[in-house]
Amino acid sequence: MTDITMPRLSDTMEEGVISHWHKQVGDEVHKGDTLADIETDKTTMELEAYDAGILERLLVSEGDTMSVGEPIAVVGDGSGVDDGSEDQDDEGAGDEDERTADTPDDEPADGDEDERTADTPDEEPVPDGDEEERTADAESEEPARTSDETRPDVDEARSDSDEVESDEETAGPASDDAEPTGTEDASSPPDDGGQPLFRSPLARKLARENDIELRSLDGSGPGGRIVRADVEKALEAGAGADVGDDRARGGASSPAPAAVPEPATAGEADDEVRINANQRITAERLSQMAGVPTFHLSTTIDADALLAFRREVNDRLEEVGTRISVTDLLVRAAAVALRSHPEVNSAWGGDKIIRRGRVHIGLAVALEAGLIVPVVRDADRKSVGQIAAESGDLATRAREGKLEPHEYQGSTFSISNLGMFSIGEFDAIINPPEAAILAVGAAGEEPVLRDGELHSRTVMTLTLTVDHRVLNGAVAAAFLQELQAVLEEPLRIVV
Amino acid sequence: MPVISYREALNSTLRSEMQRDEDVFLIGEEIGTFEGSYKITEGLLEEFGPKRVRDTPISEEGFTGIAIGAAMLGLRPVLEYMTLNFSLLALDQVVNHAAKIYTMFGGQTAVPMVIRAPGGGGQQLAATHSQNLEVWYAHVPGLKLVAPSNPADAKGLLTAAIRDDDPVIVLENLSLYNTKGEVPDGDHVTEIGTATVARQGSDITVISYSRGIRTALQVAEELEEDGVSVEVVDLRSLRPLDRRTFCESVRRTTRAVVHEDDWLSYGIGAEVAASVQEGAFDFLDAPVRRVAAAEVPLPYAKPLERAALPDTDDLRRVIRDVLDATSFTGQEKS
Repeated sequence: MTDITMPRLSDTMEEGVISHWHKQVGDEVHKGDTLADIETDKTTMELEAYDAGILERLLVSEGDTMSVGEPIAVVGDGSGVDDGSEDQDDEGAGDEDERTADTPDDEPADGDEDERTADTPDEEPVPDGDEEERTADAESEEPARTSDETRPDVDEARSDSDEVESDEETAGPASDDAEPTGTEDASSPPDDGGQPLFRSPLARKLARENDIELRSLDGSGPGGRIVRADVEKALEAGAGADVGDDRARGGASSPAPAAVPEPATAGEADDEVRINANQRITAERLSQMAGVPTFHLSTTIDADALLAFRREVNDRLEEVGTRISVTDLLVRAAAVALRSHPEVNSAWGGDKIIRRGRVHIGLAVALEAGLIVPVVRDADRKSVGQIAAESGDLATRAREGKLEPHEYQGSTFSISNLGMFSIGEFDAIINPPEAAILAVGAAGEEPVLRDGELHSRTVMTLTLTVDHRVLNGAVAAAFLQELQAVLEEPLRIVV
Repeated sequence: MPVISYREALNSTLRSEMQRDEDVFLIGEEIGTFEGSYKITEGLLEEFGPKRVRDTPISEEGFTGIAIGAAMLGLRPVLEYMTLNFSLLALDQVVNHAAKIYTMFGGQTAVPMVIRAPGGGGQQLAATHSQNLEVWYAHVPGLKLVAPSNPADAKGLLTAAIRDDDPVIVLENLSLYNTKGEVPDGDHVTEIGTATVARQGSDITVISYSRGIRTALQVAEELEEDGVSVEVVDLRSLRPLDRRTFCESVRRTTRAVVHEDDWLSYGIGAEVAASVQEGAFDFLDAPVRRVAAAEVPLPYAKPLERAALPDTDDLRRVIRDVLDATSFTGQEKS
């Protein structure tokens, strides 16, 4: 029997969502079969089977998030197929012993492990000592049961692990000051909701037994940790299961858990749309930008030459089959300008500025759900044709959700073009930790006064959003000015 | 029950076991004519003669090998190292031979030997003579290791060790030799592998052994006056380790501190703390805390040596921290 675990599909992957099971319990599995689609932060990848057998259990439902390395399914010889519903979410329901007893045979991995844990420390190779054996035996009960008791919370902890991590991400990287005394209880997984919930194991157990919502309590321990005293205080105040009847009768006694959410009216009005991992990560990363001081610089370029250049290139390249878009020219032009303004090709590094050695341009691509920024690497060293081919391929695969992580990570500067939607001008939000992003509006004809005469010219508005911590106005303006010059003399794009 | 010293308890136990079983003999440096560096073998050469009280040259590896061979052939040697630190010279004999012969020879021959040695710091004997090497031996399957904290256990555990068919190390502590306590008359055997609750309490469990028990008991008494009820668990046997006893205690008190004279990292305390986590997780109201010696070679200078070893202040402070961390009010158990 083999546990299938959540694979690590990229260096940075910490968790994944099972977006679709290709196999069901009881199905035969061959090596190389696709078991499931796994959604990582930006992409969806297939999980292949490495072992053959019968899919005995699915430990996770579609849409569930699991940390890397956690078991998600069991493949075996078929003897452990559980035709009932494997309700791994029955946390806290019923009596613990009962659950232990009910634990079907197809879960022996856990049982074995518990026993092993309990036995191993006392195992002595000299089997003569009765007292040792007795000690070991007596113990195998106790810790084993304890382990079982803690098991139901695995799910709880698991479903929340993303919150801890996201919180850590938001809080920034500088939280390495864990005391050796361990009083800041890093081991406490959060209970639910957005913030990690620190509580002692005992407080959690008491709360579970008495049906108390831990999140509703104030912790009096270090760092706000909820300890036994807090739960007992709540119990005395009449919270929890003991007063369940009172509450039912409407005698809601004082500080009953306030955290019970309003019952969601299965409404005609509101609809909750589940966000995918990509949307969640995007939201988180964008939220990081909330406190970042940015300013915006806009300029209008005369795009006639650029568009004419594009037409000419496309005419010449027709037989090759490559078509160059305005965005491709922008990518290359930005790369060229960045090469001479390396300070713009930078990132905010928390306590330092990181000046990037290479120029990788990120291209914002709207997806049906969410946004992704595939990266054209070394755009300053590639021909416009190469860039066109590459960005076309990236955009297509981005829309299919088939990008590999390295294809949407590591950009040093980004471009967002909404020109095709006839947006004249807009501000883009920086793709952190980059120093700037270029927003490109639609090219349109406008009357232009030149040398006292009115002309009709095609103009295009470029807006640079800049992280003021990395760049000041003059430096950013110089870059934008150069970019404008390059675009207005398009030959400079290709030399 | 008579009140005698730890030293006297060991001496009288050796005597009575030698009287009881002719196969028991003593071997070590200066244990005969000089009656032992710490006078544990006082009077035994006179009583039992040089055949059963064998003085050896300074040759730890050699006489350890001799003792192992004698044990394999049916005798029951009780070997003394002047200090546990010298056992390092015989480490291969102890770890690779004494501990493994029974299993490696498929149970055809056992090694019923006892190794006695004083260890620990606090006597201004400097770094190489003041070590707590118990974890080195507690780590090795095939060895048993006991560390009595009082005269009664010294008698009970040494008796059990001599009668045990496996190699047993009896860890004595230099600073305990002169301590006194009641010791049961007659045959008194303390089962190896059993911890004991040295003092009952309900608010917090302090788990310790050997000299640390004295510190723990003193702190427990002091804290009693402040309304804190401290339970003290004496491990007594470091291998096998009686996890059940201390886990049950922690389940009652919901808080745990491990106290030891050894260095903190990778020590007995680490093993105990991990076991508490495995066996009493849901009953903990705060993380398990450890009190141990500073991680330095123990200094010779008295004030520095004192500063390096954990004392009652250190233990009291950590207990207070744990109580504070769990919003202990002092009346919650009343």
